This record gives sequence, C-alpha cells and structure tokens, in this order.
Amino acid sequence: MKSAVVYAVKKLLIFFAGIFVLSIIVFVMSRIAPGDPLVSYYGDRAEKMSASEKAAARERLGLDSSVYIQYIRWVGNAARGNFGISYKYRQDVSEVISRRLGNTLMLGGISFALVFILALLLGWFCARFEDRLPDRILCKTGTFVSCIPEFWLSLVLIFVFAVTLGVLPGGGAYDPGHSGDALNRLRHLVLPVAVLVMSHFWYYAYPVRNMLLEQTHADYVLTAKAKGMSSGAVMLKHCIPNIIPSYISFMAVSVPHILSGTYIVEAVFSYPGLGTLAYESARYGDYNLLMVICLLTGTAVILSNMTGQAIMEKINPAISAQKRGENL
Amino acid sequence: MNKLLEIKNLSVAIDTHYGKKDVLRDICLEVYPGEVLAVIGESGCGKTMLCKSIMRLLPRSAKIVSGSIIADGEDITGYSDRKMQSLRGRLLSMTFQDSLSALNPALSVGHQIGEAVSLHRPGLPKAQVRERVIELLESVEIHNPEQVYIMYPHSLSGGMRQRCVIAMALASEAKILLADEPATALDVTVQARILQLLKKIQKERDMAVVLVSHDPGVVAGIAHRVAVMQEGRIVENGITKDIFAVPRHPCTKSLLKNKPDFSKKSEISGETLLEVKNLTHDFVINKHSVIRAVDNVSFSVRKGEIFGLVGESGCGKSTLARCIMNIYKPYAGEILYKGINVCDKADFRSNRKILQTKRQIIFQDSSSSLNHSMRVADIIAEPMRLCGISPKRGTYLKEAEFQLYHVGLNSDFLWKKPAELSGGQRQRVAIARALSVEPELLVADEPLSSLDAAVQAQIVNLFNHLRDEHGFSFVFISHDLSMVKYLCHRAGVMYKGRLVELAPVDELFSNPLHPYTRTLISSVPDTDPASDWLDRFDRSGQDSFCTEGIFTEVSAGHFVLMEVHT
Repeated sequence: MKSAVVYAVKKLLIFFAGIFVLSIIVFVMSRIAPGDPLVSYYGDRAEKMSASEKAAARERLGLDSSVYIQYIRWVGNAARGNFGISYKYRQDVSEVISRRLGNTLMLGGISFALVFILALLLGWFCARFEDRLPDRILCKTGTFVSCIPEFWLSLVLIFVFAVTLGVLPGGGAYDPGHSGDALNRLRHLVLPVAVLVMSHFWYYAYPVRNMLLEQTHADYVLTAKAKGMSSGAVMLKHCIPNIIPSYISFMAVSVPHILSGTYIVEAVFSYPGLGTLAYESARYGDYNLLMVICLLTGTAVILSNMTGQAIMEKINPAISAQKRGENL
Repeated sequence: MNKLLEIKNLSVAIDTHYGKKDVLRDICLEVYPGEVLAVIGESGCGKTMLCKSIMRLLPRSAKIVSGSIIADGEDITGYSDRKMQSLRGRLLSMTFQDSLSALNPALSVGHQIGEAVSLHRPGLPKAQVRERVIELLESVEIHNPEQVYIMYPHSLSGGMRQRCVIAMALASEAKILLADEPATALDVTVQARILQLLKKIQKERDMAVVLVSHDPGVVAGIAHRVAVMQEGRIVENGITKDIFAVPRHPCTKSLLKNKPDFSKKSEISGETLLEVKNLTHDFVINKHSVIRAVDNVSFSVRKGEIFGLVGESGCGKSTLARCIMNIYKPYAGEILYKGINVCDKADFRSNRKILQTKRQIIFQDSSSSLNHSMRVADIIAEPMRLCGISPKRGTYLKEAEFQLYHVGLNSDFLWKKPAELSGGQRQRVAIARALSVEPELLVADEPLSSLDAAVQAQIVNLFNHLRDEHGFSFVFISHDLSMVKYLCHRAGVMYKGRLVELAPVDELFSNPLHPYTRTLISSVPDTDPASDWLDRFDRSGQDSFCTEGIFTEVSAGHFVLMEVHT
C-alpha cells in the first residue's frame, strides 16, 4: 500500500517536472520565433501605428519587459488559474480553448478508437493468413495507404465526396445553425476521421501482425494444439490475450502520433479544433493562447507515455512476481 | 497384440531456400499398447520431426511426401486439421522439449492444465476442473498442488515445469504419450526423478510412451524397445537389451560409446597455481534480500591439473568462475594466482599483464559469447592485439590459423562469422580465442553442456591433449558427472554455494561421503539396461541437505563438510 503511494507521488513529480520544462521551452521559443503579437491584437491597424504607439501598446500588453520577467509573471498568474487573454479573440484563453477542445477530442477520440480496433482486427487477419495471399495483399496495400500524405488524401476525399458526389460536407464541424444536431456533426466527422484512420491504421496493424506471429511461432502454441485445441481457439485464448497488454501500452504511447495527425487534418478541413487554433496562434504570436495549447498537448503526450510505461511495468508477471519475491 | 501406432515408410521433406530437403526418410515403426519405445539419435537427426509428424503439428514448410501413419487402426495420414484435433489429446498427446517455452508465460499453470481437462470433457463445471487439475498435479508428485496451481511457468524450477507439462499431457487420458527429450537440460538429480516419474506413470496407466532422447543412458532403464535414428532414417530397431549389448550399426556404437576413453591420467607436479581461500560472494537483489551465491569456498589448483567443479544449476559454480576471472569482485575471501592476490587492486595493477593473459575463460553459451559481426580470424586474434603481443608467426592471421588448426578446424573457417558455424564449431572458436594468448589457467564454464555427445567427446579429447602437450591447468565446471570422472584429477562438489566435498576423482566416485554427493552420483544414468539404477535411485525425494558444518579432511586429500553435533 505504502509503495503504491510512493509510486504515485514519484510519477506525479515526474509529470510536473515535465510540464515545467516544457512551459519554459515553449515560452522562450515563442518569443524567439518571428511574428508580431500586436498584429493579432490590433489586426490591420498595427501596421499604421507609429513607433511610440507600438511601444505604448506593448507596455499595455506587458510585452516590454525581458523574457524572464514575463515568464515569472506568467507562471504567477497561471498558478492562480489565470492564463491571460488571447490577443486575437480578446477573450480569456480558457474560454477560447474550451469551445474548441470538445471538437478535437471528438475527432481524435473517434479516430483513435477506430484505429485501435481496426489495427487489432487486421493484424489478427494477417497473422491468421501468414504469408499467404490475403496477408500479402493487405501488407502491400497497408504500406501503400500509410505512405499517402494526410493533406493530399484529405484533398482527394474532399474532391470526390464533397465536390463531385456531394454526399458529404467538405469542411467545418457543423452546418450553420445546426450546432446542437448530433447527426449533422457526425456527417462532418466522416471525412476527417476517414483520413486519420486510413493514414494511421497500418502503423499499428503491422506491429500487431508481427507480435501475433511471434506468439504463433512459440512452442506453447504447439502444446496447446497437442491438447486438442483448434488453431482459432489457440489464437483467441492464448496468443491475443498475450499481446493485448503490450498492444495497449503501445497504443497509449502513440496518442501523440494520432494527435499530431488531427492537427493537420483540422487545418485542411478547416475544422474548428485545437489544431487550427494552434496553427493560427503560432503564426500571429498569440502567446498566451499558444502556451496553453502547447501545454495541453504536452500534458496529453506526457500522460499517454506515462500510462504506457505504467502498463508495461504492471503487466509483466515476471517483474511483479520478482518484486513479491515468490520463486520456487 | 494390436498395434496402437504404426508408421509405414514415412518420408517428410522441408521446403528451404535451396530446394527440398528430406528430414525423414522411409521411417517404419510400431508402438504396442503399454510399451515404451525409445527413439535415440544425435540432435538434428529428425527425432522431434518424427513426433511432430505423428501429431501432425509440422511447420507449414514441411510436407509428408509418402508413407502412412496408422493410429488405433485408422489411417490418419490424410486427416484434416479438424479431424486431427479430436485425436490430439484423446489418442495422442505430446510433451515438448523445452518446458519453459512449451508453456504460455502469461497464464497460470493451473489454467493451462485446466484447459486440457475441459477440452477433454467439455461442460465440466469449473470447480471439478480445478479438482481434476489438483489431482493431476498430485499424480506427477507435486507436493503442494494448491500453490503450484496459481503459479506462472517462470517462477517454477525446470523440474517442476516438466512435471506440469507431463500433467498436461496426462489430462486427456491419451493412449500414446510422445515425450520429446523430457529430461534434457535438467540437473542430473532432477532428471532421474523425472524418469522415475515417467516410468511410474507408464506402469500405472499402462500407456504407450514414445520417449525421445539423445542420451542412451536416459532410455536404458525405461525403454522396452529402442529405435536409433541417423539423418532421418531408422538405422537400428530392436529390444533394448539386444541393442545395448550388441550394437550393430556404427551410429549406435558411437552413441553408446560416446565417452572418450583415456584410462591413464598423467601425473601432476605439486606446484600450486591457483588458490581460493574462504571465498564468499553475495548478490544484492534489493534492500531486503541478499543471495549468497558462493559461501566460504576454499580450494587450490595445481599446475597441469584439471580441477572439476560439479553441482546443480544455481549452486554458484559460474559465480565462482567469474570471481576467479575478476569479473565479479568477491565480497570476502582471497584468490591467489601464483601468489598474486587478484582481488587486491594494487596487486592487480602491478601484475596486470600476466593476470590478463595467463588466465582465460570459456563461457557456457558460445553463441552469445562471440561477437556475431566479427569474423573468426578477428575473434581469435583480438586478445593478442589487446594485450599487445606481437604475433610469433608473422601476422595475426597466421596466428589465428594456427590456433584454429590446433582446435581441429581448417583455415576455411577464418572468414566465417559465428552465425555460420554449428554449436561445436563455435565452441572450438571460443577455445581457440582463449588459447591465442597462451594462458596457463583455463576456466571452462560448462563448455560442453550445449553440445552433442560426439562433439563433447572431441572437445574433451582436445582439453586432455592441451593439458598433456602444453601443461595447461583447467578449472572445469560441469553438471555432467561422467565427464568430470573421465577428465578431471580432482573434483569439488558444490551445493547451495558451499563446497561440500573435495577429493581426487576416483576417491570421490568410489567413496562419496556427503549425502548430496551420494545422491548426485546415484543419479547418473547407467547405459546398461539391466542395471536398476533408476529403481535404486533414492525415492525419498530428499531435496535439501545440510550446508552447515566444518570442512574437514577425512583422508589424504579428501575433504568433506561435516555436520557439527553440539
């Protein structure tokens, strides 16, 4: 019991240390990167302002002091839950983000779940037909599809399904006036999700196939068959359960991979999510917004990595048994 | 009597990159109810393939080319996989060679045996399946079945795992049990117990058993009939007694007589080369547990002597070897090599050159102790380069060639990589590497355990030759007592980190004093089928011996750990 608490505290410390380091890097990098925050605050007017006006505006926005002072001020405010305002939207950052977060979670979550299930099923299918025609066809097409760039695939799908056939919407999260209509939202999700799933599933299906083959070539499969089990039952009761934990931890670690995919897809489909927001804020130097988006993404990455690691540590019966010290 | 299993002219071929390769050729065998048929032969002769063809569990690249397998009156050669499923377990069951990989590492032992039970009797309620599993575990002489039930394969010892695998094969009450090397890779005492168990089970259940082994000694005490295989063919087949008494085929003869014979062991000079004094080494697992791998061990090795160290796996033999070679720093005690204390940093530094070149080690697993990306020539010459020894024969290449010739390999091998060599050839390269700097002391850590009997004999002969010609001293570590008996002058028996007995080999085998030594010696398989060593082998199952006491000299050169009665 005590060790569990120690374990949790350790992990929590690592987590906060990670976030802290990340915040410094993002803060400094955003200051170094080109882009004028005044443009996002004042829009076109910024270009007509005189030098003294600009200086006054900077002072008002607290951008005149050195990066270190700015950072310390930011940390102080953030600790009290105040992440500042977005220069572009002239609203609290938390408010701007909360409107978009749901959209991204929806897109990312559905895609992630589909990739997760599809990869397992296809990997299983390939392992079942090891090196025979179905496996070979799927391996080739899988590699091919995963090599198509996401933005290009998105454009082709938009062209075919939205422009030519007109069966699906080609962008946005919902039609104007239909923001509460779940069906309408789902229709808008079909193409972005399709792109994400197509460009990601093979990255996971192929390792699943190989992990399963490693299992089916193991001697214990022969033992199970010698008992009189059918190949299907051996696969279902021995091989798949054996790879599931490592598969889950593997998928947990790959959350950032799919997350980065959603950002690209959002930009192409002009889907109002965190991805488009991150892109804009970085481009126009909307510092406060950028910070929070980066920290959110960072949190997701660190958390998923830590989850994967924790699962890995927990599943291995050899490790946990050794800790308990039971050996005959 | 009805034949339970009949194999007629069976041929099996494997598709390889180089075309078809025959692995089984024209095999004819019969198995009658209630008999034990042993199949012996060197590794790679197709014994396992034969079992897998009977079970129809061949890899996909292997095909039955011709012949038929008739089990219980039915020709099963053309059976579909589905039809075979109903036969596996019900009629035929099999245990596989390596019990660790033959069990699913992620499921408890009880669960896996339970699976076999429920496959055999579908619809049996869970509680009864469990009861049956416990019963099976008891029948293979596991004394704490309830505990073992919930354990995972990795936390069981090799012997326990083998018992569980046998229990699994018994679960479905098959008529024929195919046991593929059930006793290989186990300690001799455990091996004897497993053989006893198989014999008992076979008698009780009146099963037919096909026992596959590379060691004739293993099968001699059990088998009614023996078939000898060589390169996929059965070269000799008959009643055990006849075959062992009058082997006809050269392959059988070499199998039965694989031990090198050299009755005369040359004399040794009295000079002490290596002295180990009160050596103790601990492994710290974590704050709470410390394992004492080597506990207060003292012995000495004279110049030109082959000193044997025997004991079951995990008794500290390898740790001791590594301490001698400065791989581990001992926790306490002294190791003196020619009077130099090798554990002392200052002493070591001032005598670095002699300590590093004159002591060499040969590791157990030759495939992992050689760098796979290096060529044999470089592997052999590397120690010389590192020690800055200029090649006496002109170039390092010539030097490597000479060493290869020495261990019986020709110069073609210079350009090969370890992966292209067989186990025996690799071990020879490892020996050549150790010899290249002309050492005086060779520590050989189980150099033979991964090799075939014929190759073992070659290597042992090589060792003996090296000793006679060049006056090397050896510390020869082995769990194979017969090798130690043939090769060594003196031997020490280790048990749980303690040296329990130390004596000249002849004295040790004729007059073992410590109970553990006695058990160890009585568990060595006897190749005489008439011998009843298996029945005589201590059935009480005594697994622990006293490790407390004082190491006392009872007669000249014969030391034993004596219990102190207070």
